[in-house]
Amino acid sequence: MPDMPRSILVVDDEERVRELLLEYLGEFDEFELRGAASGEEALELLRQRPAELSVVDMRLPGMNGANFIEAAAAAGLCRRFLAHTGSVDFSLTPALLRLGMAKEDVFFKPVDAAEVLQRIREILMEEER
Amino acid sequence: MTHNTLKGKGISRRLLWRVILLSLFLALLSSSVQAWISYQEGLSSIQETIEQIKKTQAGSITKALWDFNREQLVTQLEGLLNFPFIKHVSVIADGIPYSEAGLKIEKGVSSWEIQLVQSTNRGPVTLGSLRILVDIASIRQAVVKNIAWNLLFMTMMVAIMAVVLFLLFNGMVTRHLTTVGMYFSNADSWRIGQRLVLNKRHRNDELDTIVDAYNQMSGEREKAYRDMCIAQEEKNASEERYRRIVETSQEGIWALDKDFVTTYVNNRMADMLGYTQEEMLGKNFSDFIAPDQLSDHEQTVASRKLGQNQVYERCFRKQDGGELWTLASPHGMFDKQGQFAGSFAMFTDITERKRAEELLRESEARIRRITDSTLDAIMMMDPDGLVSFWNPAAERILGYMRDEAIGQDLHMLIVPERYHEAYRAGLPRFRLTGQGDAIGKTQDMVARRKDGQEITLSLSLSALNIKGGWHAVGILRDITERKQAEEQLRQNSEKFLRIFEMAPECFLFVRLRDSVIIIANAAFETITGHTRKEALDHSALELDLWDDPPVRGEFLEQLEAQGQVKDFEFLLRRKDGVLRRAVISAQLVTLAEEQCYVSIIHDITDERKTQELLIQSEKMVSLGSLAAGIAHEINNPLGIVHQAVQNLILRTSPDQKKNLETAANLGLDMGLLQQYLHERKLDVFLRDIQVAAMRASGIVRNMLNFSRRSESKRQICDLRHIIEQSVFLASSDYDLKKSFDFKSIKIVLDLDENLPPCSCTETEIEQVILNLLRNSAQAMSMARPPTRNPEIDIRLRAGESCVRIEVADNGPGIAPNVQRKVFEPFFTTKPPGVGTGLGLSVSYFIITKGHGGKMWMTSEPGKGTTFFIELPAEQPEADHA
Repeated sequence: MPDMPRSILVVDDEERVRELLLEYLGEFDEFELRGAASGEEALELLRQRPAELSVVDMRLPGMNGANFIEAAAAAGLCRRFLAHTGSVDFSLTPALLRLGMAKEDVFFKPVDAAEVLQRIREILMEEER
Repeated sequence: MTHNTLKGKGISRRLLWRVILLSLFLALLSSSVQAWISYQEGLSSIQETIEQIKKTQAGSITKALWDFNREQLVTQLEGLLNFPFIKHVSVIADGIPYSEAGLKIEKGVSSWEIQLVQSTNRGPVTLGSLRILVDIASIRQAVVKNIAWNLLFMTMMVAIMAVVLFLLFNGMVTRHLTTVGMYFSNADSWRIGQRLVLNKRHRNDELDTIVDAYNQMSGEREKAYRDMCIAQEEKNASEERYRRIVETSQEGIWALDKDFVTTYVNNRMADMLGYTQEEMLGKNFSDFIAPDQLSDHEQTVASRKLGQNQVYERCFRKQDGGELWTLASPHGMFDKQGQFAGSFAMFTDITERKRAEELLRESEARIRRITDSTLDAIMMMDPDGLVSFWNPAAERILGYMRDEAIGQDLHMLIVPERYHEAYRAGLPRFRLTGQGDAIGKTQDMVARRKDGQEITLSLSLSALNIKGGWHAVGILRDITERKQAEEQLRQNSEKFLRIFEMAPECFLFVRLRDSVIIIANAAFETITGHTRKEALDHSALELDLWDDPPVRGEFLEQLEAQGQVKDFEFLLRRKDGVLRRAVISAQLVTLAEEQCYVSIIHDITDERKTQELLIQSEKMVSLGSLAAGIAHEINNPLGIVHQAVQNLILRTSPDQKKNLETAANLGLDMGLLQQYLHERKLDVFLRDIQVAAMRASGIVRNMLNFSRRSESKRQICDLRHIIEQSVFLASSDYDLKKSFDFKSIKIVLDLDENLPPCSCTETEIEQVILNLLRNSAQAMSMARPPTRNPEIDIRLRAGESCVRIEVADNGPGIAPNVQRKVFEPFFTTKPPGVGTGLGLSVSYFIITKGHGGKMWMTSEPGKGTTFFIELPAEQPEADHA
């Protein structure tokens, strides 16, 4: 495990969903975790300090998840994203695909937090390299 | 001409008188001269006498005087009186008559004086004078007397000469002249060519010369005259003719001076215009011209003055205001200097012709408009087979412009080559007789358009003889569309016939008066159990189709009252006696002049049964839309449940560093906690919560499949491949392998190769087949006792406009009371957690709603279950019949 905690941002408008995921991930002392209830708030946080990865709910009040991802990536505030969605028929848009998101980066609720953790670790390993 | 005859004697008489008068005048003249000469001679003789006296007597007298011898003197004086014409002699001395002799006469005398000079020694001394009186009158008398005699004699001579001359002249000239006169005065004689002959003894004198010359001239003249007469006659006749022609001419004749003022019009011209000839004279030509023609008139005036005499048409305004159309043949006239001197023109009344022309033109225009506007092509072929008429519709239908078509060989132009020989063979006969196989008929023909496209035309062909040559007139209608429509109609009626035959409802045509069945379709046989052979021409009553005949009476009553009946429910008795619930709809129709009714009998027995399923379908549709709405909302709380449990498990785990730290701080033994959780089965409860949450999530996900719009692309798929793929997926499914021993199931594929193409969404069909395989596998493995030699047969067959997939197992089958429910959502025979109850419902929807196909099943408990899927085949363009 790296010494420097990696910054992870969880964006979900439902507080409990957001908190439960943060709680879960927090158990491992691997990440520096932050949460945001909307895309706008998330961007604000990222401007204060960028993150390595964001876990994004696709359905958000205000700007939606996809828009947030594009905006954050364009501003260079965050490079990797995981989609965390409640709908079943979500599919990656071409814009998201261009940002390097793959099928493995999409999680349908209810999600197995362990799988999310697993994926985060994979991504961060990749980034390491 | 007696008058002339009398006058004829004038010449000789005039000659006579003139000779007499001239002779007398000459006689008088000569007598006068003679008399004057005689007189002068008398006078000169007196003079001489005086001189003689002077010489001879004067001395003696002077002496006598001198001597004063009076006697002697007297004697002397008296002697003087003997001298002729001396009447008195006197001697005057000192102014006094001294002596005298003779008679002293006062009148008619002339006196002479002779000086009496006495020569003396002293010289001559005038003693006195001798005065002599001479009687002049007697001289005159003598002369006159002399003349008178002379004159008388001469006159007599003249008279005699004149008479003789008269007679001679008369005999020699006048008589002949009279003859000539008579000859000429008698016009008949010289006209009829008689020669002029004089009755003369002597020949070859001047008269004869004249007469001969005349006769010769007369001969010539007569000939010339005759010629002239003939010419004159001809001229007269011609003039008369021309006059007659001009006056009675049917042409108007109009002469104009150089200013185009009327100098002459003939009666006809005036008549034509409604004026009299007099009214028109002196008026300008342009006064009569129709106003709209004036400018044209100026042009013709100009050209006339240039000597151009072209014929033209001119419209005049008649006296009554009407129009007179004429054909003018003008002729400009020019004087010797070449100056325009006027014009002369003939006018033919062409008003009628004009009117006729106008009518003809209108008629032509009308016909032209007809031929131009007609939708049918009209064309005409001359005896040489060349196009002589081509209307706009022909241009449109055949693509050739009029200019391209006219003069072309009609058949070569529009008839496809394969027909040329036949047309060529028929042409000579047509050319001779105007007859042919197609003449006077309407028949279909194939023509080739300019663009090479062949079209079907209806051709009405007729022949007409123009100036001995046979022409053909064809009216062609493009019936390509009609042909197509006919074909369509034929196909339609075939289609309808097929529909009629294939319709699952029973169609019946029944004669109203005796209820005899006239027509029935195939469904009649299936629905009633009677063959059509048995039923046709038999009464419906004989067949005993109605379980309750009074109900039929009610039906007929209603039909006759309203003309139609809709969905009349009754119990139908099949041939085998089975009663079926049916509805009949009927309508009165007249068929071949017979009052009939057409009825549709619909067996609703099964329909009633399937109605429940339909209601279920409705349920599922609403569920689908509901699911879409709630899925997302449910997933979030499920997520919370799930993660909360995950967190619980994580935070009670003795492996987590944080847990250990917190427990150490609290003095809690993690081992004991674990033990406690396990002892009290808290870990099991937590897992239950987790599994339940995941199950709920699965249900929601499946529910969403109803609402998911089929965005996936529909395309022609290889169903064989899909089936093989599905089998592969099933065999590689861990769950199936593990839980249901899929490997032990014998999969038999019987897939036809020759299948109509069928478009579908590959993944969906895959899902359906996988689902069926899963169901069969589950059913067979869970059967008690388990199915021996489990087998699943998958067949792929071409059906009627469809492709059929059959998935048959030899499993436990489905109980009849359950069969109806298998497609219902949430219906499952599997234990909780194994099936959602949605697999078959979703499959059903994918097949029926998504692909427009059919899905059903048959099952015999204990023997197996077969699911049928029919997917509609693509209707290819080409007719495969």
